[in-house]
Amino acid sequence: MTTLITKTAAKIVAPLIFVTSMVLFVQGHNTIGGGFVAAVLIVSAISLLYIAYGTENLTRLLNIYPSELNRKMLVSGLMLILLTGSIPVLFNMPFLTQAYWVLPTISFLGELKISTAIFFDLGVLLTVTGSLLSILSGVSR
Amino acid sequence: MGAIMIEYSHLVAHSPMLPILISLLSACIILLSRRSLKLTIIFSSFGMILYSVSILFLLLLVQDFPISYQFSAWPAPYGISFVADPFSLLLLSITAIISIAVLFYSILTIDAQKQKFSYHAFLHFLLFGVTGALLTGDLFNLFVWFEVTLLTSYVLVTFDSNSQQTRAGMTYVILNLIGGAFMLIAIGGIYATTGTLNLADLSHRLSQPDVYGISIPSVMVFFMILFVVFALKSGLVPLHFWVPLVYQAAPSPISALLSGVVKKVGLYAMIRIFFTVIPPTSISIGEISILTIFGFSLLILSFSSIVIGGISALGQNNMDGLLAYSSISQMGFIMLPLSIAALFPAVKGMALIAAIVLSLNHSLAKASLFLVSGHIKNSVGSVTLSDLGGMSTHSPILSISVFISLFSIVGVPPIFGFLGKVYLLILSSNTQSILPNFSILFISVILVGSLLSLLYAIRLWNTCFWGEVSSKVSTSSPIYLTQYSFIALSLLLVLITLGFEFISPLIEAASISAVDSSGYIDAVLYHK
Repeated sequence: MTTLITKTAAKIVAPLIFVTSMVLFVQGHNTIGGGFVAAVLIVSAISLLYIAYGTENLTRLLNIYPSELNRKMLVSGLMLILLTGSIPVLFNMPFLTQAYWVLPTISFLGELKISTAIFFDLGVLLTVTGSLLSILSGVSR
Repeated sequence: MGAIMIEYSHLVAHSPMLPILISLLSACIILLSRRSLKLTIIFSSFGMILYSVSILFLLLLVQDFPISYQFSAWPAPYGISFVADPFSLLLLSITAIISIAVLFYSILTIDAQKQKFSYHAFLHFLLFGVTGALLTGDLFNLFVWFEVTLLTSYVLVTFDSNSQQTRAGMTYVILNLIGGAFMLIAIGGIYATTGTLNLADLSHRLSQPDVYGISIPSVMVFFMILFVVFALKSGLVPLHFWVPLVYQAAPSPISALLSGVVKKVGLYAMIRIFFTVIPPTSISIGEISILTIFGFSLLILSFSSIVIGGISALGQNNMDGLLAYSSISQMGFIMLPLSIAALFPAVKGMALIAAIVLSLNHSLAKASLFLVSGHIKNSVGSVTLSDLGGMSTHSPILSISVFISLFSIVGVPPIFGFLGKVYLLILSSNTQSILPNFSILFISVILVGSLLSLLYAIRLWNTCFWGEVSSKVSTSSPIYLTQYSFIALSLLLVLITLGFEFISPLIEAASISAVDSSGYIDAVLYHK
């Protein structure tokens, strides 16, 4: 599959997928999107790069042992979920209760809402990315 | 002093959520400490102890009425509820007891490399799923917790990844995927027709189907699909063929956990949906209520499980296979009182007590026997019946433990299983005043089933434990420490029998809360 066409296309498409996934991730707390969808998109971008450039090249390029990183991502995602879920318990509110702040208008962005659920979503993103990538690297071996 | 009081009340308020939090946290910490075997074992044991303490705490807290917990503070029909009532807590306590024994056994027998390779993490993830399924108060969440349990059990069943396990794993995965798809369809249908998934709200709406415009025929169809899925999970006869495959292939401690804990989750779901959620009278077309259909289908399934499971167990030449088929037959015995309860509401209370006693007995005894089978596999090297013989002279303590568990499953007096069988027989004779012919049918099937159980138990006992010491047994090296895991379980059976008056209030409270829809609705929707 490592033809010039796939390599060139992957170079252009992968960053676009990354950006789309980030947009979906950020808007996830109250519209369509969220950690899971973003993670699936990230993994699809990475798998596209894997297909175009081969696993060995990419591993050398990123200078990491991938399966170790994937596992760490998975565990830290789970820990983040647990942590964001448990913080309200310390304030005697139910597990997973979230809070949000409305930031004042910032020029063209309009009203910006920041919610604690985004950390939970980040946990989901890390967990799903880590587990999907470790499945992928296990299958591709 | 004041601060301590406040913290205690916090603990009480959050108690229904503690067990799942603890099991998830310990699984995560174990995943992090993968490099060191010692750390893994320490964290795993510590997590298990904390888990058991949290369940004991809940057990002391929940006396008669259920307590509910709303995640993220969304009120009941909209948010996710967790409900702890005496029934789910009884099953949770058994879960904790069996998992402690299984953990102890696993630490001693599973080889170090595999223990480091996330074995303990998956054990805690399995507990996480089971606990969630037993505590959740939401139908869709029940599906999710089922999937969590199944996903981890796929990994654990195929943990040694040999060919036998891969084959069993394939059947297990495909069957449960199909089951899961049907469950999801049924849940979607129930949501479409009733407009809610919260179990308490569902029960409330189903009691007044006209008010909420619920189409009764479609609801009945969807609940019957759920029934089939639960029957698959508990391994009743037409859907039983995964049981012997998986139980023989899986590592013994995992078989113990599957038969003692995971199978009982299917039983729990069946009781929860068909006795707590579905109101006894309002869901019916003409004279036929959903409970009648449920009762008759379950009756046929449990009769065939008792007979087919018993006969197949007789023909096994391998201890694991015998135990697996015996498990199918005993599941029939556990389900039989439920079908009687559905058909004859007058004897409902006693029927549930019988089901719970039989299920407790089967969980403890079967888990203990699977651990024994693993122990024999390790010390003798084989569990084929013809290779074994004279174990009672070779390892007497093990044999006493097997004797107690094996004959408790059969229901030989005076061990615990006998009480279950007595309850079942009294129950069947009580149905005589309602439909005389039925009670004769019940009693004859129970007697035939018990006779079959007695026969396979005696066969196992005679070939493996009595007679001359076989060459493999005499050359085997005795292992002492792992024995304590199953000895503890069978000792517990004896203790429960001796102190039955102490635990009978627990069982009675469990059976009452299992059929108490209004108490359940009040606890979840109105926080009474």
